[in-house]
Amino acid sequence: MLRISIEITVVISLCFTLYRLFKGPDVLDRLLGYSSTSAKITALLVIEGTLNERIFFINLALVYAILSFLGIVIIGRFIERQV
Amino acid sequence: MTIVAHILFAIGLTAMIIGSLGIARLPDVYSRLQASGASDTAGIITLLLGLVFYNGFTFSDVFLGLLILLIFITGPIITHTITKAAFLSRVDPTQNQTERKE
Repeated sequence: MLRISIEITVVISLCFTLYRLFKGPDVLDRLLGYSSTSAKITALLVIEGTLNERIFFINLALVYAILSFLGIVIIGRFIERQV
Repeated sequence: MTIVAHILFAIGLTAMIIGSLGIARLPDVYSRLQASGASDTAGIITLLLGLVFYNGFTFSDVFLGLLILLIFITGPIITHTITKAAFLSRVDPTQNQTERKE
Protein backbone atom coordinates (compact mmCIF):
# COMPACT_ATOMS: atom_id res chain seq x y z
CA MET A 1 0.00 0.00 0.00
CA LEU A 2 2.80 2.39 0.88
CA ARG A 3 4.72 1.45 -2.26
CA ILE A 4 1.68 1.93 -4.52
CA SER A 5 0.85 5.38 -3.09
CA ILE A 6 4.46 6.62 -3.35
CA GLU A 7 4.74 5.34 -6.92
CA ILE A 8 1.45 6.98 -7.93
CA THR A 9 2.65 10.33 -6.54
CA VAL A 10 5.98 10.09 -8.38
CA VAL A 11 4.18 9.13 -11.62
CA ILE A 12 1.87 12.18 -11.31
CA SER A 13 4.92 14.44 -11.01
CA LEU A 14 6.49 12.54 -13.93
CA CYS A 15 3.48 13.49 -16.10
CA PHE A 16 4.11 17.23 -15.50
CA THR A 17 7.77 16.93 -16.47
CA LEU A 18 6.88 14.83 -19.53
CA TYR A 19 4.53 17.65 -20.59
CA ARG A 20 7.49 20.05 -20.46
CA LEU A 21 9.70 17.54 -22.28
CA PHE A 22 7.32 17.13 -25.23
CA LYS A 23 5.87 20.64 -25.50
CA GLY A 24 8.79 22.88 -24.49
CA PRO A 25 9.17 25.66 -27.04
CA ASP A 26 12.97 25.67 -26.99
CA VAL A 27 15.74 23.10 -26.87
CA LEU A 28 16.72 24.30 -23.39
CA ASP A 29 13.23 23.54 -22.09
CA ARG A 30 13.43 20.06 -23.55
CA LEU A 31 16.83 19.53 -21.92
CA LEU A 32 15.43 20.70 -18.58
CA GLY A 33 12.46 18.37 -18.95
CA TYR A 34 14.76 15.47 -19.78
CA SER A 35 16.89 16.17 -16.71
CA SER A 36 13.90 16.25 -14.37
CA THR A 37 12.30 13.18 -16.01
CA SER A 38 15.45 11.10 -15.60
CA ALA A 39 15.63 12.12 -11.93
CA LYS A 40 12.04 10.93 -11.41
CA ILE A 41 12.76 7.64 -13.20
CA THR A 42 15.77 7.12 -10.91
CA ALA A 43 13.50 7.63 -7.90
CA LEU A 44 10.99 5.12 -9.31
CA LEU A 45 13.71 2.49 -9.84
CA VAL A 46 15.01 2.92 -6.28
CA ILE A 47 11.52 2.67 -4.77
CA GLU A 48 10.78 -0.45 -6.81
CA GLY A 49 14.09 -2.00 -5.76
CA THR A 50 13.81 -1.22 -2.06
CA LEU A 51 10.14 -1.64 -1.17
CA ASN A 52 9.51 -4.57 -3.53
CA GLU A 53 12.62 -6.57 -2.52
CA ARG A 54 14.33 -6.50 -5.89
CA ILE A 55 17.84 -5.42 -5.04
CA PHE A 56 19.31 -5.27 -8.54
CA PHE A 57 17.03 -2.35 -9.48
CA ILE A 58 19.19 -0.15 -7.20
CA ASN A 59 22.24 -0.95 -9.35
CA LEU A 60 20.16 -0.11 -12.43
CA ALA A 61 19.24 3.23 -10.85
CA LEU A 62 22.93 4.00 -10.14
CA VAL A 63 23.97 3.28 -13.75
CA TYR A 64 20.96 5.21 -15.11
CA ALA A 65 21.80 8.28 -12.98
CA ILE A 66 25.44 8.29 -14.15
CA LEU A 67 24.52 7.90 -17.84
CA SER A 68 21.80 10.58 -17.77
CA PHE A 69 24.21 12.99 -16.03
CA LEU A 70 26.80 12.41 -18.77
CA GLY A 71 24.23 12.93 -21.54
CA ILE A 72 22.82 16.15 -20.06
CA VAL A 73 26.26 17.72 -19.50
CA ILE A 74 27.45 16.79 -23.00
CA ILE A 75 24.28 18.14 -24.69
CA GLY A 76 24.48 21.33 -22.61
CA ARG A 77 28.08 21.98 -23.56
CA PHE A 78 27.17 21.25 -27.21
CA ILE A 79 24.30 23.75 -27.20
CA GLU A 80 26.23 26.64 -25.68
CA ARG A 81 28.69 26.94 -28.56
CA GLN A 82 26.00 26.85 -31.26
CA VAL A 83 24.99 30.52 -31.18
CA MET B 1 12.24 4.52 12.99
CA THR B 2 9.20 3.99 10.77
CA ILE B 3 7.64 7.31 11.79
CA VAL B 4 10.84 9.16 10.77
CA ALA B 5 10.73 7.33 7.44
CA HIS B 6 7.11 8.32 6.82
CA ILE B 7 7.82 11.98 7.65
CA LEU B 8 10.79 11.96 5.24
CA PHE B 9 8.60 10.37 2.52
CA ALA B 10 5.98 13.10 2.98
CA ILE B 11 8.56 15.91 2.78
CA GLY B 12 10.24 14.44 -0.31
CA LEU B 13 7.03 13.78 -2.22
CA THR B 14 5.68 17.27 -1.42
CA ALA B 15 8.88 18.89 -2.69
CA MET B 16 8.84 16.72 -5.81
CA ILE B 17 5.23 17.46 -6.77
CA ILE B 18 5.52 21.22 -6.11
CA GLY B 19 8.67 21.36 -8.24
CA SER B 20 6.96 19.49 -11.07
CA LEU B 21 4.03 21.93 -10.97
CA GLY B 22 6.56 24.76 -11.19
CA ILE B 23 8.25 23.14 -14.17
CA ALA B 24 4.92 22.75 -15.96
CA ARG B 25 3.47 26.17 -15.13
CA LEU B 26 6.20 28.84 -14.90
CA PRO B 27 6.63 31.10 -17.94
CA ASP B 28 10.41 31.40 -18.40
CA VAL B 29 13.48 29.17 -18.82
CA TYR B 30 15.23 30.61 -15.77
CA SER B 31 12.15 30.28 -13.57
CA ARG B 32 11.74 26.64 -14.58
CA LEU B 33 15.43 26.08 -13.88
CA GLN B 34 15.00 27.50 -10.41
CA ALA B 35 12.03 25.22 -9.72
CA SER B 36 13.83 22.18 -11.14
CA GLY B 37 17.16 22.70 -9.42
CA ALA B 38 15.60 23.25 -6.03
CA SER B 39 13.05 20.46 -6.11
CA ASP B 40 14.88 17.58 -7.80
CA THR B 41 17.91 17.44 -5.52
CA ALA B 42 16.02 18.07 -2.26
CA GLY B 43 13.09 15.79 -3.06
CA ILE B 44 15.07 12.78 -4.22
CA ILE B 45 17.68 13.01 -1.45
CA THR B 46 14.93 13.21 1.18
CA LEU B 47 13.09 10.26 -0.39
CA LEU B 48 16.27 8.13 -0.43
CA LEU B 49 17.00 9.02 3.21
CA GLY B 50 13.49 7.86 4.06
CA LEU B 51 14.15 4.57 2.28
CA VAL B 52 17.40 4.15 4.25
CA PHE B 53 15.53 4.67 7.52
CA TYR B 54 12.57 2.48 6.50
CA ASN B 55 14.29 -0.88 5.96
CA GLY B 56 16.65 -0.78 8.92
CA PHE B 57 20.30 -1.00 8.04
CA THR B 58 20.97 -3.68 5.44
CA PHE B 59 23.52 -4.20 2.67
CA SER B 60 21.56 -2.26 0.06
CA ASP B 61 22.02 0.95 2.08
CA VAL B 62 25.59 1.10 0.73
CA PHE B 63 24.21 1.58 -2.79
CA LEU B 64 21.61 4.06 -1.51
CA GLY B 65 24.39 6.09 0.11
CA LEU B 66 26.37 6.05 -3.12
CA LEU B 67 23.28 7.25 -5.01
CA ILE B 68 22.66 10.05 -2.48
CA LEU B 69 26.29 11.19 -2.86
CA LEU B 70 26.04 11.06 -6.67
CA ILE B 71 22.80 13.09 -6.82
CA PHE B 72 24.16 15.56 -4.26
CA ILE B 73 27.15 16.24 -6.54
CA THR B 74 25.55 16.08 -9.99
CA GLY B 75 22.33 18.04 -9.34
CA PRO B 76 23.91 21.52 -9.07
CA ILE B 77 26.28 20.68 -11.96
CA ILE B 78 23.30 19.94 -14.25
CA THR B 79 21.52 23.15 -13.23
CA HIS B 80 24.67 25.23 -13.75
CA THR B 81 25.30 23.68 -17.17
CA ILE B 82 21.79 24.39 -18.47
CA THR B 83 21.83 27.94 -17.04
CA LYS B 84 25.20 28.67 -18.66
CA ALA B 85 23.94 27.32 -21.99
CA ALA B 86 20.81 29.50 -21.76
CA PHE B 87 22.86 32.59 -20.90
CA LEU B 88 25.41 32.06 -23.66
CA SER B 89 22.60 31.42 -26.18
CA ARG B 90 21.45 35.01 -25.48
CA VAL B 91 18.11 34.20 -23.89
CA ASP B 92 17.08 37.50 -22.35
CA PRO B 93 16.36 37.13 -18.61
CA THR B 94 14.11 40.21 -18.51
CA GLN B 95 11.75 39.17 -21.31
CA ASN B 96 8.68 36.96 -21.10
CA GLN B 97 9.54 33.97 -23.26
CA THR B 98 6.01 32.74 -23.93
CA GLU B 99 5.00 35.98 -25.61
CA ARG B 100 8.16 35.94 -27.71
CA LYS B 101 7.70 32.37 -28.93
CA GLU B 102 4.10 32.87 -30.01
